[in-house]
Amino acid sequence: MAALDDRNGCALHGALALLDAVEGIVPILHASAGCGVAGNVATAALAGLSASPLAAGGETSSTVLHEKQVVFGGTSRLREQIKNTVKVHAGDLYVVASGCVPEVVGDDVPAMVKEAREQRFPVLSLAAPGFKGSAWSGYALAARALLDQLPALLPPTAAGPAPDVNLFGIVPGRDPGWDGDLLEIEALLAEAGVRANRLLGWGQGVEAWREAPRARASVVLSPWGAPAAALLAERHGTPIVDLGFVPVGSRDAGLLVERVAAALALPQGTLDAARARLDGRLRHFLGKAAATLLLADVQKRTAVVGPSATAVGQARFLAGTLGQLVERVVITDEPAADRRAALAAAVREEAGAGVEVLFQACRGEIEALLRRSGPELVLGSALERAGAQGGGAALVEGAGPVRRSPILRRSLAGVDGAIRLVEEIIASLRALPVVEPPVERAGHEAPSLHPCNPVQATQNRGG
Amino acid sequence: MGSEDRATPAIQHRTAATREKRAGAIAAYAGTAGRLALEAAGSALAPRVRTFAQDATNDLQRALELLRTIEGLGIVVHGPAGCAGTLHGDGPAAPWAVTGLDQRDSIMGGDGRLREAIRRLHAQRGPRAIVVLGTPVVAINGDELQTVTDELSEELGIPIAPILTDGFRSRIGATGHDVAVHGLLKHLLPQRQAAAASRVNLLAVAEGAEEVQGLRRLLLEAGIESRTFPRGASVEGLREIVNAVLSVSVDPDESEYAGQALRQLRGVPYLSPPAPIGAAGTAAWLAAVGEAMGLDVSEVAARQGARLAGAVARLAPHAGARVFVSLPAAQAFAVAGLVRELGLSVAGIGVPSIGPAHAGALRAVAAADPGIPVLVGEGQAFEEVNLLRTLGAELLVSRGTAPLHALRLGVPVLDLASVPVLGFDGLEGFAEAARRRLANPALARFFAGGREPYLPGWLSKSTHWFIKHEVK
Repeated sequence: MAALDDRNGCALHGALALLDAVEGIVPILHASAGCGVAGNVATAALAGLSASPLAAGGETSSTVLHEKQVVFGGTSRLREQIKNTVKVHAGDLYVVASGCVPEVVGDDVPAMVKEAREQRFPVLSLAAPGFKGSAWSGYALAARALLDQLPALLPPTAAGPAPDVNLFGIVPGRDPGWDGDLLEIEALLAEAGVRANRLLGWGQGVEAWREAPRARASVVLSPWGAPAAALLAERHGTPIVDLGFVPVGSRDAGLLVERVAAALALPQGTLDAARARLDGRLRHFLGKAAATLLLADVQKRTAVVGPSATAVGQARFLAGTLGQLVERVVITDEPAADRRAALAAAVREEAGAGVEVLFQACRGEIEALLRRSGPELVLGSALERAGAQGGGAALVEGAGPVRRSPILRRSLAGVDGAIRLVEEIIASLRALPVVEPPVERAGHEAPSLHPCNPVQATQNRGG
Repeated sequence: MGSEDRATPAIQHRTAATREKRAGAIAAYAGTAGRLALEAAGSALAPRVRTFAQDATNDLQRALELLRTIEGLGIVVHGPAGCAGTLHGDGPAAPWAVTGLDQRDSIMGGDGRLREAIRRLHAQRGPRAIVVLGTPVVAINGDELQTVTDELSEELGIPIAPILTDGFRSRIGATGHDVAVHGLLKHLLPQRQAAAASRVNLLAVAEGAEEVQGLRRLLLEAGIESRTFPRGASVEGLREIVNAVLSVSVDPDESEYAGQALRQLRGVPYLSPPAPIGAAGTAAWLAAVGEAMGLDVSEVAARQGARLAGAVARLAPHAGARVFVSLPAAQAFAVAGLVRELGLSVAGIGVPSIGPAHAGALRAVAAADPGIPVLVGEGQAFEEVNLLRTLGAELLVSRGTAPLHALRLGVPVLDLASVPVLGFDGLEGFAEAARRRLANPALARFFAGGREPYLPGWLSKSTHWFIKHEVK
């Protein structure tokens, strides 16, 4: 469906963002000019960072297919590019990602990869034409393709301790806080002594993927992680812990630990201690905000808009821990039809049977929905700003694209992410325009989140 | 073939010619200014290709970047969803939609989706005109955009123009500027009626909004009212463009297509002085406009120029610092002049493309130092790294391009996308920004401690290693 301000991108962008998130992988883009540029711009912009097309080449090796290759085929151009990429870019693994043009004109990519492999170059390939699906699905196909093809090239070593669990479903580029989210999930699992294989982001290289088949379980944190986990289950019988969303707050962090503990047969004592520590941590920090939350009457009719991974977890935390009145959840990443009921059930389990769960990606439709329903608080992306503010609601940017504050490491996942989310909610409610009291009541103090008006604050600083 | 003939826009054609055809431009070269000047002085520059390349912008992305600055214009990208990805990036928030072609559409065509996208955008965001841009999949399938745009234009009662970008026809992204201008002119600009007494078109294409406003202020000080086109125009303002008394270039390369097209097709005279960069360059640009308008602007130039002595003096501690200039060709040669005006030295020049129109500028550079390196290519960071390592550059000047590869070499970056360089104000701002970067290059030094992603084997080769003459 045509979308206004499409936020889901294309399969190639999802695949490239995954490849870029693994140290030592050198993507070789087999596409016309600009395919990597568009993905890089979207990745940066969704995280609130500066993103100019000219600056977004990403130093990505690319065949940059020209008219001649469109007409006569680009297979020999790919051969040349592979041969030269291994001479220019330092890498442990080279992955050819082919886009729309070679898929339409029918280039024989596997033959070129086979040739390179015969010359002992570590090269894999994946077909990720943009028309095949969204960036979310591109992540899914790239993760599965890596796990499928890598063992033939680099079998697991059996050296050193195997990871306990692999983390699948947090999507680089589309989840603007993906790097931090993975670190948060790793940290909360570590509370139970579980060693997570993040696979992506800071410090994660080809070795992490190589060792993935040795993990004792796969943790699925969005529908997009399921295909990779399914492959490990088929090949190695690796059990799947399918939470289906990213946990926010100590209840769901505890739920994840509980599910992983069951899969790994951890002692009950370990689980209980981990849950208690996670819970205690959230209570400690949230306690500081108790007075603010109560005095400001931060119990709002709330709408949550975002992809499966974040919207579901955020809605559950807001309703189940913060006591927000979550009325509507709009899931924007267009998950497969057979995953939707489980996502809706996960929301309703915490937010109540009456909560409306919709699957909608188009900005225009979502904006109209927000205007019609008039929530007081919206967790969504910057695309929801007009819809939120039209009805006077505060907007917390909990999904991409974000605009207010760029994301480098920040995360709204896990326990520390939940604390951050509460900080953001309080800040957003404070930022709402002050409604001036009527003249005749000007002498009365209205309960407000604003401890002093801006003029007073300036005077205080000046004095 | 004269430059005027080369630049002739063929509006009856479906779309603009590529920069390669129209301006004889090439997109790959690594060598000295002397050798390139010699080649440019003879026959046409020989087209070259890379046997290894890195991704760079295409015509669609350049067209989008430009068209989103036109107020009131809605944008529909007809292709898979990712083709519209750059619209999330920096720039004005124009209303836009993408048709999101899927596998079936890539075979069967996506006319239905295009109609739906146009109707949706119109209904939900109310643009006053719409442009529909093509993508590689649509171009390969031969989808006919204009049938749909004509039909929907009639249905919705607003102008709808096809912009025939395709992503693969040209190796030079800036071709997209010409394709966008071609579409606007062909479908959205009315016929000329009467010239406004003193209003000129400022043909801004790839410049920043702030620096273009600075030029408008400068013209106003000289008594000349101006409108910008195409960057920063409005849908309604497009009607005024054809009635201006004169069109004036800002960057002669980028303005040329619009200027020539407006001259030939709507009768607006076109003036193309060198870019208004540096004190001498700006004074010459202003004088050329003044002369064409019959106004004496020397007093304005003198008044503005008088305040710039301090800017040069503040850079004195860094006199002779080596600067690599990486900018579109017309700007690059002008900024190289500015660099020297400020007492700094030019370590090398990088341009995305270059054509015979720059033969004179190349000769001038080569006359001063025939061995000065020139690198031609857009987004080819691997070559710039290879070259910069040998140059001892202390500052890199670019416009909106990626800075990380230079920072990794410990070279601070001055980005003209955030530091306006045009006009007298630009000289002052540029000098101060250069002074700050040279005074404290700590960020670049920090990045220089990291890992270089390129293999030593490549870094020890000649920069031109992967550039070959094109076999037709």
